Amino acid sequence: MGKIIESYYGENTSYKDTMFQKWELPENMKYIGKRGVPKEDAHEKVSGESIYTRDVILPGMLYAKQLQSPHAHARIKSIDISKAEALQGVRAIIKYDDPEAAILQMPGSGYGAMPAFSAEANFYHQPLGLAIAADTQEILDKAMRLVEIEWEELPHEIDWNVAMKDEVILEPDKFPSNTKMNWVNEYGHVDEALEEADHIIEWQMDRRENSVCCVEPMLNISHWEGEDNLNIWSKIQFIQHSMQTNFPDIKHTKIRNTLPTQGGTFGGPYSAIWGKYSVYNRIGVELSRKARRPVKFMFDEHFFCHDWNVGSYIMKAGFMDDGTVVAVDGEFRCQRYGWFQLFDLHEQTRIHNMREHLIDIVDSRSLYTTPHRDGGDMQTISNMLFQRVAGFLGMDPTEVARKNYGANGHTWEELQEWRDEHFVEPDRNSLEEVIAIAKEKIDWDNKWHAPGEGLLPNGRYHGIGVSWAHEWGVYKMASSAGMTVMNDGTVKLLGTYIDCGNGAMTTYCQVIADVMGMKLEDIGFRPRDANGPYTLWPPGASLGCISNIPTIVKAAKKLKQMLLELATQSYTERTGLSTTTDMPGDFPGLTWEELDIEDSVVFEKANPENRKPVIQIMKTHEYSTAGAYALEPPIVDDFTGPQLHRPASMYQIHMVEVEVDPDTGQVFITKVVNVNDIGLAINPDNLYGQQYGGSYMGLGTSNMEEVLYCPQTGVKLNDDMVGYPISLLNDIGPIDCNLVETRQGYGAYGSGGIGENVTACTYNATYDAVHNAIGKWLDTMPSTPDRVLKALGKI
Amino acid sequence: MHSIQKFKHIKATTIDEAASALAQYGGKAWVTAGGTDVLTSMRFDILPDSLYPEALISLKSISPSLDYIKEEGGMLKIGAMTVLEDIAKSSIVHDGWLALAEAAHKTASPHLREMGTIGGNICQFNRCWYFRKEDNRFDCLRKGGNMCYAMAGENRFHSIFGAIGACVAVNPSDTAPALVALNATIVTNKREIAADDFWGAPVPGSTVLEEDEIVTEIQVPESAGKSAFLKFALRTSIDFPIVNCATMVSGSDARICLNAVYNKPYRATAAEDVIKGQTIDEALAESAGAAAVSDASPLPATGTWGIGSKWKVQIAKTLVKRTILACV
Repeated sequence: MGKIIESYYGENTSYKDTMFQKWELPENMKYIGKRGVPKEDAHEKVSGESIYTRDVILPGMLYAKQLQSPHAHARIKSIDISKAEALQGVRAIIKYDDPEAAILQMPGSGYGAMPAFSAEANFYHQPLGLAIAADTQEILDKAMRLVEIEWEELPHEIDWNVAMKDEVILEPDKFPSNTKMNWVNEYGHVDEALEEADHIIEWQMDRRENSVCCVEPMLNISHWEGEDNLNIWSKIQFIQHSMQTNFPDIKHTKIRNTLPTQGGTFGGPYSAIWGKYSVYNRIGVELSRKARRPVKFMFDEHFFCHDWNVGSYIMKAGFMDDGTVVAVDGEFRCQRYGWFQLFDLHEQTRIHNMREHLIDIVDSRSLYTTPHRDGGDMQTISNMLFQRVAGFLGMDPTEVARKNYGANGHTWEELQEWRDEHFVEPDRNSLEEVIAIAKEKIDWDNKWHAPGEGLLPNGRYHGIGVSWAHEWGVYKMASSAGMTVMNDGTVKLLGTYIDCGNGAMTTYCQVIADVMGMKLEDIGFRPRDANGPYTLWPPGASLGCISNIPTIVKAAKKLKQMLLELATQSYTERTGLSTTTDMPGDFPGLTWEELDIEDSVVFEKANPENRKPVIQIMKTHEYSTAGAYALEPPIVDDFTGPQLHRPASMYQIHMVEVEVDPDTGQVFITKVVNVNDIGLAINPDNLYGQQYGGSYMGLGTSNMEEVLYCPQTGVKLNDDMVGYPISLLNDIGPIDCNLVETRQGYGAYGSGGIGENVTACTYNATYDAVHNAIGKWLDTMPSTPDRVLKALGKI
Repeated sequence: MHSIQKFKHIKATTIDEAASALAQYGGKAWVTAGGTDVLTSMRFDILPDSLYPEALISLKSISPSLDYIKEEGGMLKIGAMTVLEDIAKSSIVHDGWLALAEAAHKTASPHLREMGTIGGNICQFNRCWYFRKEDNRFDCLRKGGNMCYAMAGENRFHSIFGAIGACVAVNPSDTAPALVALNATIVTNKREIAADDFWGAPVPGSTVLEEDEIVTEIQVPESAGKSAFLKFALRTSIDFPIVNCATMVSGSDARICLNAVYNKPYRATAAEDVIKGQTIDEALAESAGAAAVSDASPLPATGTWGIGSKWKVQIAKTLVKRTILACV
């Protein structure tokens, strides 16, 4: 029986029919869970031999850019391209009022959808209005300088709290008020619960903008072959979404997509500019169509620096003397595109009563703000709540975690029946396990102290903080994969997929090898070609593995069966051709069930000495077909997840130790301990990599990274690698990474995700640690020296 | 970032040839050594056409080479083309002029230190994100414009001691305050300039060098005392300083210089006066730190998120105190 669980929206949702199941591990596993497995793409990346989209040069290729607004809010009054047009080497220009710009003026869809060729800029550096293609980058830049534009500057406001006062309506043609969305979601009975609470606290915290700063700026290369056939090389995360949204007028059978190595894309293109719903990636296509030449359309490095995880959180919480939170009431202000701020809090706790007041504000910051990425906002709000409660009561914050963890308003005890039904080891308590490991690793019991009472001999304040969350990835996306055995006996995974460095390609191959009994080196996946019928969910790490590995496992099982069946078949059985003298198969007289595969060798289970390599199976009767024999058709298995959120049973905890210099306000992160219940660690090295990477991202954003704007002009000031301080190796102390495997995850074999929430949670562990060090809560993050000095009363 | 606009590249073989080329272009040529600041400035197109160089004159091919570190008669002599990493690793510099070795070591990152020279480091443009904004976005005072955008804009990393003129951009050199504290002399093809007098606030440069004047050597007198350098930045391995400070204590005298707090290195003479004739202890160093910033006039915060430069006063005070104590 599936347990009926009340959902976040007050509806009843049954989890009975989800694909969640008790997975049996492959017998004789050799690769799943093993450390030191070589990454599929390791050599090409570390040797510099990888080809990124920016490296691709085609014969006769042109270079193209788009105009970017120098103003935070302005309208093009007039534009004169005559001098640029006359420049030798300029091959194509499209501007917003040209007929061929029509497709580029479509708004796209989804978060922050906007036309690529507007005549009005709503933020600094918004690409708009005009694009040029030229023979060389030098000519292109010169042509851009020759374009004469008369701008009408319009009012701007970069502070969302000021914008919401509506003193100036920023986009009156679109919105009568700067408050674009204003709605309240309530779950339970917040006001009544607050009345019954032992304590009520209220606070506000402003989270300043961070940036993803991905390494390779957005670009693509377009090339028309003839009138109809289009080739595209892209740096992009969601090629299928882009195709669906932005190429409705071109037959998809006529488009050939190639996805070179992706240069750091984690969330980067998830934006209005180059996101899956954006029409910006049509600009190069149209320039190429006009110029009849290949066109490399590029953004520059300033597009590393788009904003995310930002807003004002105005919170009220009611709780009991023992740390049990009974009600949460929050107002959340931000420029956002529709996301629920208490979503994670609901998913990972037993709190019954919560209310969120969501205010979506028009302001003049980068429109490609994505406040919800990596669960950053949601986990900040969730952890801030428990940290504040623990601070108020003087409780160990891990005790507050124990009082409140659960799922969808329920305790895990209430969900035990569901756990028994779905988990291999239903009685394991993930939260307790991760807490125990983390506490031991950081020596919590000896180091945690009352806030502000950890003065060290070196004159600095010592602090220690903690944040926790449920597992990352409690739903599944659609996924399909193909798989075939090649002539040489190797197995090839087929599917469009984008790996931005997380290494999931290797993980997939490990799974296939163990499911089929093949050697790992006989499994291959080079997903550069994006034209097949199969689509693995990109990028393939947390959500990707959860979505894709079940598909891959099923396909691998089918392929193994097909391979074993081939091994038993005679020439006639295998080819369907009749001959005067049929030729026997490799294992005549046996059924496929009597065979197995180990180390890429097929053998008879009852007589293991009777064995033949897979390559030999594939070459048997090879002469019977013209040229090459391949399995037809490839094994295909569609597997579309229900996309429901199910109770998240696995937890993660992150502890951060800091020293704070009271005279300079500088926060030194001296130690980090990450413990993630990953369910099953298929590739531990990749998972540790996610913990390290997530820590650097999270702690950098919590401690120093901040996008800064000019308040007078609205111009973004530090949108480059010099001004935006991404944390580097020397900026963070030792990071101790630990994995727990309770097999209670949503993915295959009970595995789960990891990376994004390490980023989200370590951010808030810093917030807690700084409070523990100085005895004051910061009202704005990141915890830069000026804010610490202000909290200490030094300035 | 753009492709760099066309310019003439001149490989000078002698200092005289380089100086002659500079004179020929009448202010429209730049000298380049490591190129880390020059080429970045050009690539980001930060200057108006009127200030954009028509020619770059490379000193890498100068003979005899200006790449050397030597001690002569107790005086440290460093060729202007010596890269910062060599200075940072030099036992000569480390043993006799620690503040300079530390300053070189704290500059930029290992790769940049292998490219950037001490001549370039002391001659680099001042830093201000309005001045350095790509595409010459802000026609600011430092480019010959009419206003300082930082005064009313985002100025958290700007001057705390006012301005020469009205520009509040700061000198970002790490080695400059060390050279001032160590009482160094900058030798050019024309003259010898005391480090105290080397920096100014011309447009758009940062030194008092004339159009055809080239730094050839740094001379640092024998150090009779101890010296120290400290840098405050958000990141430990690469950032420009938010504040840095070098101090040399000799007997009961001290030379103290802050940087990144003013248009040029700021000699903290009020702090030196506190030290003079006194025995240094924590209380005295604290008083000196307070004296160092007694003339501070930090920029006010602007906008909701602005914080002004007041917080840098606290940092400067602290670094002065700590460098003094480090010399004891």
